[in-house]
Amino acid sequence: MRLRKRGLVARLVLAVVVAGTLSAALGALLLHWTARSTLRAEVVQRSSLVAHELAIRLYGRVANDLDTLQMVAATHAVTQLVPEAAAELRTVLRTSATYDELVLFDVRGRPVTAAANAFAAETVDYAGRPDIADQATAGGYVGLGDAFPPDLEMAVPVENPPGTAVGFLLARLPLELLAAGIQQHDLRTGTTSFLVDGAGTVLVHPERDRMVDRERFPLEQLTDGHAGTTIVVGVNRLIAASAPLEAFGGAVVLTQDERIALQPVSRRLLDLGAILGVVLVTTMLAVSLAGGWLLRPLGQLLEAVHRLGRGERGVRVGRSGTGEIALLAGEFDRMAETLDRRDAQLTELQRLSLLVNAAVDCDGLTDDLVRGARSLLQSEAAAFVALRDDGPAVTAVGTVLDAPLVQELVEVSTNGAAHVSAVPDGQALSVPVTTLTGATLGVLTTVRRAGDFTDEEVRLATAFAAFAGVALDNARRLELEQALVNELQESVERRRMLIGGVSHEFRTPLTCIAGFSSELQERWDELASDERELLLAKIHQHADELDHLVTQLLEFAATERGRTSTTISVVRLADIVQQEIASLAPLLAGRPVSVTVPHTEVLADPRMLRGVLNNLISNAVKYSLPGTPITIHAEHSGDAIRIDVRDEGIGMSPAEIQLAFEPFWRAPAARGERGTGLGLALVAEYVRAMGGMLRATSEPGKGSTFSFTLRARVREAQP
Amino acid sequence: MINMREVGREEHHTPFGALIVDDEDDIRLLVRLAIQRWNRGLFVAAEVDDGETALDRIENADPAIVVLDQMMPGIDGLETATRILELRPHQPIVLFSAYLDPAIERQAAEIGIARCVHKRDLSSLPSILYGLLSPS
Repeated sequence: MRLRKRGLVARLVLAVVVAGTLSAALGALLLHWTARSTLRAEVVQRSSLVAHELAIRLYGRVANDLDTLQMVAATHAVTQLVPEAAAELRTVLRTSATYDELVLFDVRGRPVTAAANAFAAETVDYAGRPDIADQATAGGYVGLGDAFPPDLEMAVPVENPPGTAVGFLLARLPLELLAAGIQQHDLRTGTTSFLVDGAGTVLVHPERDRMVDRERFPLEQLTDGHAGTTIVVGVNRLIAASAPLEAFGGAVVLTQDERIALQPVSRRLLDLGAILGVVLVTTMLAVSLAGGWLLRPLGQLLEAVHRLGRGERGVRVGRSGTGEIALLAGEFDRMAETLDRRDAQLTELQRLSLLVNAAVDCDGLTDDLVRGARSLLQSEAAAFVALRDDGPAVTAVGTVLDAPLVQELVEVSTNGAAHVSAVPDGQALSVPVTTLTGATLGVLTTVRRAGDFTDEEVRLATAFAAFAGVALDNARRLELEQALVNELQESVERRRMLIGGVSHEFRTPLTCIAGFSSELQERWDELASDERELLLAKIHQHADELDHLVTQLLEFAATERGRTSTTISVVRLADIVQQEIASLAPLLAGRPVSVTVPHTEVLADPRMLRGVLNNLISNAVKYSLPGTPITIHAEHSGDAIRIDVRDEGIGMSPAEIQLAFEPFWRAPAARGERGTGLGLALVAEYVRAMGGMLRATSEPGKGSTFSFTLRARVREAQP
Repeated sequence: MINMREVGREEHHTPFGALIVDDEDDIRLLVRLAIQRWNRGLFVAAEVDDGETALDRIENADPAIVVLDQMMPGIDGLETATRILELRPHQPIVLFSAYLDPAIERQAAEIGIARCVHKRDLSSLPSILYGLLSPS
């Protein structure tokens, strides 16, 4: 909070300094601009006056020259229009250096005689001047010659007698001479004045070079005719004023450099500028001094915040500024680091969620989760300890967890909270993985060798574990559903086999019972008594068979529905074995039956035990040739009793042994032996219900041995 | 093995020998008893308990008719019939089964089995057999 206030104050001070400087500068500029325009107006006005003065002065000169010329024209020789007049003209030229040349013309403008100044630059072609004859003879003419730079030509009529023009006298004088007065003025005042003709062509200019080209002065830019204003000629801004020259329709133009003309104001501006400059320099110094440790880092911070805001990653300010600014920069960097890390973690989480959603089996999913946890928490190793009915199952990457750690993790899982513990090579962060309903599936652990886990990472791990729990639960459900579907399909298949197979097994005894009873009924008198007894015995046998089938089916149906109730009691094994052999005596007739069973007590359900023995002995009879021996042997095996039922019959292949306990499976080698294929399945079910184990060993052609175990009754030690 | 004495064979009928193929001893006994009781020129030429044995012994027994069970260990009735008919194309065969459905009956007809008889119709078996052998 303090840091923020300091930042605000610094910004405020800076703003005030900048605003002050700016307004001072603006004020100065405004003042300057006002002063400047006032002065310019003054200069223009003055220039215009000067121009007019110069023009008047020029006019006076021209008028003066015309007067002189008229006097010459009145001399005798001239009025006669004779060539001898030249002598008089020459005399005039000698006494006045004004004219370059004097020429006498007749009334049509044809030259009569002439005289030229010795200093005249060039020889004049005495061409006729009919063009000006009328004007010159009428009253006089003033104009510019054809050459460039032009001369001023002025002509006065020659009258003889007075009032009657007989010709005219023309004088040529260089404009330069005429403008000499202007140039003197220029020298005094620092202006530049020159003459232009009516079209603005510069005729006489102080810089002679300019006269080579017919440079044109933009007279039309001067407002109200030839009044003064500022115009731009070349690169210089000029303040110009002009005054018309009636004599030849031209003008006097007076110009001065604006910078020079307005110099006094500019000097003031300079002074003001100097003051402002001092202020500015001071400000800049202050800013740059402050900037070194205040503004620059702030700028960097602002830039960094901006970049971060745009979603850029890896933005850092680094060591910058001093005091609070440095602290701020440090805080910023830490924040940016956190953001970067969170961003990376978020990306990892998204990747994992895609991966996990794609996983269909628990094992693959567990692998993904363990790898994901390791990369998410930047750990060297990670493991998932699944809690299963048959003990913990570990899936690990990076390291193998030792048994004590696994045990510790299992304990952690029961606490239900994340747990950081020290392990031999670093820190372990463990979080229980539970389903949404709270059932614990296992523990997810990551091991980091360097650096501690932060609270934030613990929270992240917890969140990930929750996610993992849901994913695992889903995968497990999917697997269970798949298993259920498979089981249902198997069940349907079993039902189909039951109907197909068992109905056939019922059909045969029923056919026999019906056939034999019909035989007895119809041929009772024909048959001998032993024949009748035989047929009756057969009916009885088939009825027993039907009973056995029905019993087996009902028993199996009960086990499938989980409705078998087991009543374990202490029974004498030998007694049960003897009882069962006795009940199966007809079946065992003609066979050597060997029974070696110790007089021991076992924990068993008597009904189930009889069922087991009945089925195993019947099976032995069914799959062995008449007369071959059947062995029933029992012995202690630890705290259990193992009972073997062995025959010397056709035996089974290893593949057949695998299938032997499947319901409805019957050995293909069974010849003429009926059965539901449920006998061994029931045996397996009964043995399991009594807590025993069942196995079969066999060799094709040599016979099979079925062994099962029962718990022996443990006699309590006598005190 | 139960041996019933021969009863009621009448000499004025042309005797027809029957081969009984069934894995159930008592079914074979019942068929034999039925044939004996009917007593009109039919006799049991031979009894076997599976298809392979039937094929081995059919030439020697040279039966006028074969009574064949369908469900037997090893090769079943339809397969046995197919192979008998390969050896003896004109051999009359009756499929005597506890389980008959339209599919099996159609297959039996295609193979060339003369007739299908359900085991529950044991009492009418002799007349069916005789009917097949005496087209009149």
